Amino acid sequence: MDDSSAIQLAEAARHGDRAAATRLIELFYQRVYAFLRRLAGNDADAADLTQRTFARGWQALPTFVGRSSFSSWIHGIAHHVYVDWRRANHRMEPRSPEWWADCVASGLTPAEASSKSDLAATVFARVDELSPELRDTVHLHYYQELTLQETADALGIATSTVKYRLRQALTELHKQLSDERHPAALTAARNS
Amino acid sequence: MKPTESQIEELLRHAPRPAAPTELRDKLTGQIQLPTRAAASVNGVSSLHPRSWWQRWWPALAPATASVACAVVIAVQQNEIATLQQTVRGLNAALTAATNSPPDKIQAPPTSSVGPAAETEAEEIARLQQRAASLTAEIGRLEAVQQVNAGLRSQISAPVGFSQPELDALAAAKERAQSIACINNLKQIGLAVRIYADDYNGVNPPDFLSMSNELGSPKILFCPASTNHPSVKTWTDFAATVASYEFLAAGVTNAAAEPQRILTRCPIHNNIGLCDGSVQKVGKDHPEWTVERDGKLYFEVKSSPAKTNP
Repeated sequence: MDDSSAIQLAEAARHGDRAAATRLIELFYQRVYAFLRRLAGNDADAADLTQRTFARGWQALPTFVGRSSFSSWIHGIAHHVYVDWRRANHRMEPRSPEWWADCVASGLTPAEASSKSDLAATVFARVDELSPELRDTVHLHYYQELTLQETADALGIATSTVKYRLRQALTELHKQLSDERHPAALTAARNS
Repeated sequence: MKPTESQIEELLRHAPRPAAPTELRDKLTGQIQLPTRAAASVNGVSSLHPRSWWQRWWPALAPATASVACAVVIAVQQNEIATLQQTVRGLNAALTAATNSPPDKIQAPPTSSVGPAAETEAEEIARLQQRAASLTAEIGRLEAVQQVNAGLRSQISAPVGFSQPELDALAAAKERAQSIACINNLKQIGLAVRIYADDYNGVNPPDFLSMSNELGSPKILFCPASTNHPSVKTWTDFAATVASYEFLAAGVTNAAAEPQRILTRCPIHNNIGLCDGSVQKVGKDHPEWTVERDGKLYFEVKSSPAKTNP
């Protein structure tokens, strides 16, 4: 599915074509849900936020003129919906390393799981501990597979800022993982 | 073994994607509320309804109408003033002629030697003398008004509400603000150079134009105090030769190893950006702080200058 097709579908939906709107939902609801699930911390909130995202998208559809891709546009709305929800509920940043571990293990073979899952779950959990700006940029670019330009459009910032944030995030992750001691060493130190 | 940055990046690119609940799609489909055609046309073809036309244009039309009305009133008043001035000039000339005429012609002839015609003429002369006196008083009043107008005109031509010390303070504040904006520009350029160098194995860009992706806008390449400030808004309008700033470390490899080397310089304020990303406000009083070695310019601190953080 290329950008021009999605833009054509959006144009048709803007003129009242319900079938085009349904097709847009089929194309994007999985990605939007995954994005919000990783940020919100539980399934029920993620589903609720996904519904709010598409409801706000239909309201804002007359303002979509195709200057950016539909993917970055709907991700931008999802990001704003998430930020509004977090502010309105005065929530702490929800974090769940165990969820990441289960997620990683379910996508790998048993052999891979034994070697990779610990590291991957650690990396994903460390991403959630980054500052909101760095974390949201990593989610959109790496997890959601948006391009640099699409990520910049979704967050409303410059492409150079996206590149700077990604580099800063990688540097911080590498530093944190390098500073971490092995669990076995930690246990030994605790016993001594 | 600790993972490298590329391994971390690879892991991030293959993050697991949580599956959406099966009923979510049906819910979303059932909640579709598409805009009406009227709403959709707002962004496309503009509405031609008179009311919406009026709602869109009244903020511009109201001041324009008021301005036209004021212009008409001023024109009518000017016309009336010109007419009155012409009348006054005519009466003034008549008065002058009457004053310069021989007294024997103004004085009434003796009544003994004249009849009713001579009496009528004497009355006419008395009426004219009375009219001349009133016109003389009117001229004096108009001259006073003219002096007041001249005073008001001189007050209008002078700057309103500011004394000379205040104007000097305003000029100094403007120059300080431009210098701060210039420093900000140099910091942004320094950051863009570092991002570019990170992407190209530590090699600085050969010119400003090569950093178009990192800089965002070409406007920051022009010092706000520059007098020949061109109106460059897009990169297609930009030519590297017209930038306000000097790029003194173009194409240099591993410039971060020489943190005191001068990267950019503003010839107007003599602010300099260094390869470590900081910006120094040297000013024009300390040219000795800029030292040339092997064809390269370095910044050497003789005393503590104003330094901004990298």
